[in-house]
Amino acid sequence: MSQLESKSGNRLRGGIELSLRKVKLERLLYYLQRITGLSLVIYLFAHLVETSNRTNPLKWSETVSFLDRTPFHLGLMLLVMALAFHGLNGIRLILLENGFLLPRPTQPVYPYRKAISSGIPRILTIFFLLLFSLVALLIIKEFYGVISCQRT
Amino acid sequence: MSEDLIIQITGISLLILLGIHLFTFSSYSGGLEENLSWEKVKSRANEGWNLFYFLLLSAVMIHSYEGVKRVLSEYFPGKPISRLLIPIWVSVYLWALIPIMG
Repeated sequence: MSQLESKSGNRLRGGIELSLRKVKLERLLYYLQRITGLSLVIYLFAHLVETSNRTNPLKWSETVSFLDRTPFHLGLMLLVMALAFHGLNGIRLILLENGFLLPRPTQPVYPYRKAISSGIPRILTIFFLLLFSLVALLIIKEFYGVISCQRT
Repeated sequence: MSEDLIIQITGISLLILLGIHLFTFSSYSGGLEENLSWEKVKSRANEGWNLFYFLLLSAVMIHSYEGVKRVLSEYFPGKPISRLLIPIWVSVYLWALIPIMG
């Protein structure tokens, strides 16, 4: 997660900037990165419990048949999307955090421009969103196949 | 090694490892239902996938620990978050290692 965004996040927290109308794209991505990360941690613990049954064939088949239901598949689809979002946005943040694709620092002249939400970093954000949309479509296609083939 | 570097290295490793993990269960390699059958699960355990799952589990536990610690320490600055999280994460990690090693 980006320290740049994180620091400004602390400054903004609780302020009027958090009204939905004024939330910037990068700020929204920052919150989504946290929400998806924490959701994935919760799922990780559930997934570890679920897969711990793989040592016993009877328990394993019971677990698999229990989870072979549409709501679980839909939930898993959302989690895989969250994973894709977290991973792709993570690459964007790693690039920015290490200073790649950021413009040269300049003197702060009013009206101030945020380097992170203009120029190449903004293009990177748009590219990330397009890539994520493509991956999300692939995930939907994959799970549509799973749900339509599932046992009733 | 700094916390930022740890989270970045494990994050990139996870992109590769989770990509392989998801591909294993995708329609491109037989589909979810077939790959979740007991025979397939058992055969994967005998085909050397245990090392892969060990690496995946280790990376995911380190990355999640660092991530949760970072979020909590922003909301509760100055509190000894690691002291609370380390026992939970280590216990879960060791417990999850049993089926992989077993």
